[in-house]
Amino acid sequence: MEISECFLLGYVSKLFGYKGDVIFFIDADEPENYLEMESVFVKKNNKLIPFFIDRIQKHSKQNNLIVKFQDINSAEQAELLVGSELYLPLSFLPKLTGNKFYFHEVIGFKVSDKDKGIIGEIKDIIDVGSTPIFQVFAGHKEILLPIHDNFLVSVDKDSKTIFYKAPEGLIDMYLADDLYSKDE
Amino acid sequence: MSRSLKKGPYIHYKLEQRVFQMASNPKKSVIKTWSRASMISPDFVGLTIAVHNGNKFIPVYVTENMVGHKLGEFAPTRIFRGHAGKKDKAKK
Repeated sequence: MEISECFLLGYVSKLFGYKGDVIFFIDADEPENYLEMESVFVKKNNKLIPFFIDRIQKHSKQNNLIVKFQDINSAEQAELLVGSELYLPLSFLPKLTGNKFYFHEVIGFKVSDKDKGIIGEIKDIIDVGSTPIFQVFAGHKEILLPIHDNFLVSVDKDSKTIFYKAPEGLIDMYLADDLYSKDE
Repeated sequence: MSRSLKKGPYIHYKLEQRVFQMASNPKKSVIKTWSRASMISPDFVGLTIAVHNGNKFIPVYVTENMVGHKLGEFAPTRIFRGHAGKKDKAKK
């Protein structure tokens, strides 16, 4: 299995106990979706190695799961896996339709504003704070657009375009030569 | 120690003025602010505030569950991008 055919699930963060259990940090919106998985790919020396899972439990910390691999019964064996990235095949991700999309799907999509037309290409999605943000580049100027249903008109995956209705003044603010012009 | 209730929440006076102006205006335009310490009051809901993070303005669309928090909480000053690549993170 190639890494390009997989998505990053998270990583092995640390040992749990002394019987070979480990803690997975799941880098996903809903980590509880992975409580039933039977195997996972662990990245070792740039290769994906399948590991079968004995049991998975929830951890008190959000995004953490306690996992016991098959045939790993000591802390010494498990320690070798700490820090390794975890992958699953892309086919495990359910297909999203309509205005729903995975963040990695829309990288490179064009953004078309209702008033201004095509403004640029999505370079990245900044997923911090309460609302994720599209990082769009119009030439060398960076435009940040919040991803919210109120602004997102539609997503056309065929033409790789996101139709967006930006709040008044937001795009102009980033395109202005002097970003720091007006006072609050 | 929390802020005295007698004083009420802190909102920068110019920001408050702009929010009140915007409330009477049907066209909701973006408000730029450097005042990260201002508290989000219910009047802010539905507005987009561009909050400065020391480097650039981060657009914050204010929703009801943000009321009572400070604007700076939604415009991080250090952005950890994590590991790049395909992930189970989506807009649903």
